Amino acid sequence: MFKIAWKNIVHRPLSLLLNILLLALGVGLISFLFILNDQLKEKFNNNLAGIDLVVGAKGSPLQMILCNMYHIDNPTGNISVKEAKPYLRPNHPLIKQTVPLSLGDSYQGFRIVGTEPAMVHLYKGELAEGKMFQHTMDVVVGSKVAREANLKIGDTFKSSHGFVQDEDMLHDHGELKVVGILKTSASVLDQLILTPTASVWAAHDHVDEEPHEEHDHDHDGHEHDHDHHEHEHDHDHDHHGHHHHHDHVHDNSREDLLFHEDKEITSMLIQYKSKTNIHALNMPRTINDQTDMMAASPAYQINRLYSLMGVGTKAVQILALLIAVVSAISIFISLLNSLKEREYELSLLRVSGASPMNLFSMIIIEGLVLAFIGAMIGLILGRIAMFFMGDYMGVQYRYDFNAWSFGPKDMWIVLSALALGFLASVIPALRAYNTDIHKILSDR
Amino acid sequence: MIEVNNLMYNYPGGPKMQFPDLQVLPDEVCLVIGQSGVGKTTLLHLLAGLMKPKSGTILINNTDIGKLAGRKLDKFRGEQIGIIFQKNHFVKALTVIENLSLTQKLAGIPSDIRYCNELLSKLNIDRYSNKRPDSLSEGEKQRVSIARALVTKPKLVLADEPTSALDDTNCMAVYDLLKKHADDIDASLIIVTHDGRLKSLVDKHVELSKLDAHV
Repeated sequence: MFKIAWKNIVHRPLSLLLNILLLALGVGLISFLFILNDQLKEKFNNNLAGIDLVVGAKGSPLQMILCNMYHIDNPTGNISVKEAKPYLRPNHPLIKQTVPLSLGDSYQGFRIVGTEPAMVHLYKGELAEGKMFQHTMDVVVGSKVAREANLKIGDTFKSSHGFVQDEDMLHDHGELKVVGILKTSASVLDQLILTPTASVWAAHDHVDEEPHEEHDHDHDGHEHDHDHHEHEHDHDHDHHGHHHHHDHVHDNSREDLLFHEDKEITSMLIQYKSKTNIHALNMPRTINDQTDMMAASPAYQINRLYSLMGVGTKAVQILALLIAVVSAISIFISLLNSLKEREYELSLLRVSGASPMNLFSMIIIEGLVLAFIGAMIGLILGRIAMFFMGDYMGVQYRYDFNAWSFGPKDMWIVLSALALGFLASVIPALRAYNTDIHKILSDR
Repeated sequence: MIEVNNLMYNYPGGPKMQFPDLQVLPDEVCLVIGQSGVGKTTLLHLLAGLMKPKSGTILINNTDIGKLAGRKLDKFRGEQIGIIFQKNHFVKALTVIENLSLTQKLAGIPSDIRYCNELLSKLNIDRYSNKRPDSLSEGEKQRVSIARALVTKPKLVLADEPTSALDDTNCMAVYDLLKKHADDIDASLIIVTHDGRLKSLVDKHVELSKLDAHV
């Protein structure tokens, strides 16, 4: 029965093509949306990392979140250490942990983040080899960076100003040195280059000394004072009481950071001690009202982003469902038409010993086979679309998408398509079942 | 062999149709003759088990097919009865040889490609075995129809107006073909026709007339 059903299908290649194309289109769109949605959410969720609040320069809160947590947009600007100081203190009553971020530089398109080792712990990253950055100009790179920029422990490189690779924007001063490589964590860490905040300051201090370099990028660069740092390490300096800190040596501790009140950072990632503490919940408003900084909750902003995307997604989803339904109707009509053409054939099959049930299952199999082929091609189409999308995202944002994963959702898509094929063929199949052999054969 | 006794049928709301008794032995030919509208096709469909008689018996190898139903009837028909219809229809999507082998499978007997090919070459159409039936001429199609009716080695072969569209020469040829190959498998052959030319070739006749069709 399967063989004859199959032969019947390929016997009419044009209607086969139309049916399969329609269904594949519908299924492809749906599966593409599913993967895109899943992978975006996975990316976003992996990178939430228990961060309750992001504090940065005033601007668009969504942009600030995207920039500082997901590293896909430009900074809203910088905040001064002086202003950030209260939230950077280790003994803040409401804050469990604050991680400072300084953005603005990159290497081969990978963002360099001036921060503290706590950043790695925040995203549950682990060292694959080497050690954590400690000294100025030390960097720890994410797994993807190491792979794609071909960086190994001990390698040195020059950072580039801005987020796009640009030979003219190379910082000419000292080079960054890879001291550690992180394991793949499926978080944003994979695509980042981490270094002490002082490294970023150092790079920009030098840049600013060269008058021919311009900083009119579309993103806000750092503005810096011109004090000159020497990058020596392992010296214990007592900074307290110093208000003029020329020739100061960084030990890259939090105190060291706080000491440089005249410097700037891009943002702070904050974890509350208690998420339900009323004072903690009031903190964003306090910051927004009383400082030049802006505070935003990542969860809230990402939900806002989802709901913005949701409208578009919904529209495409409805379209995809419509196409799938049209394809079912098309299968239904073409089966029905072919039945009209084949009623004599069906009678012959009956005469040759086929039972009504045989004819019923033959037509059902035809519908199911069509649906199955359409669904498979659709899944592949969705993957191909996702692959190109992922490619684009990868180049644009350094985000990795896994286009080729197959999950339970795909199984559901195939099952739904089969159900659709069954529904489309059940009426034609019932007709075949009820073929009145006598009437058809005696109709001359 | 086939034996028909007191066979009666009526269409819903139509008159009663009483058919004459008949008995056809293996290797024997019986002609059922009658003008249009006297119930030739009805008789053929009754004999083939496509319709249920209202009364009377149709014994094919001692099985009363009027008492069979559903799957059993389908199976019995597939195995024991070969039918050549007036119009030559096939499963269009399949080739000649595939049509034959499908017929075997549907009858519940193992597909025997060698026998199919043997039949085709006996009917002198073996060169078309991998062609689709639609691409053949009417005469060739009829030979494929004959091959299909015989491929299950049935005990009863029914032919519906096999010669009415043919000229005298071909009429003779087709009759000979049918007779010869039905004999080969020791089947009873019943030809339903209004073609008077066959009368001179066949001894055993059963005439259907209006008289029989209303009692």
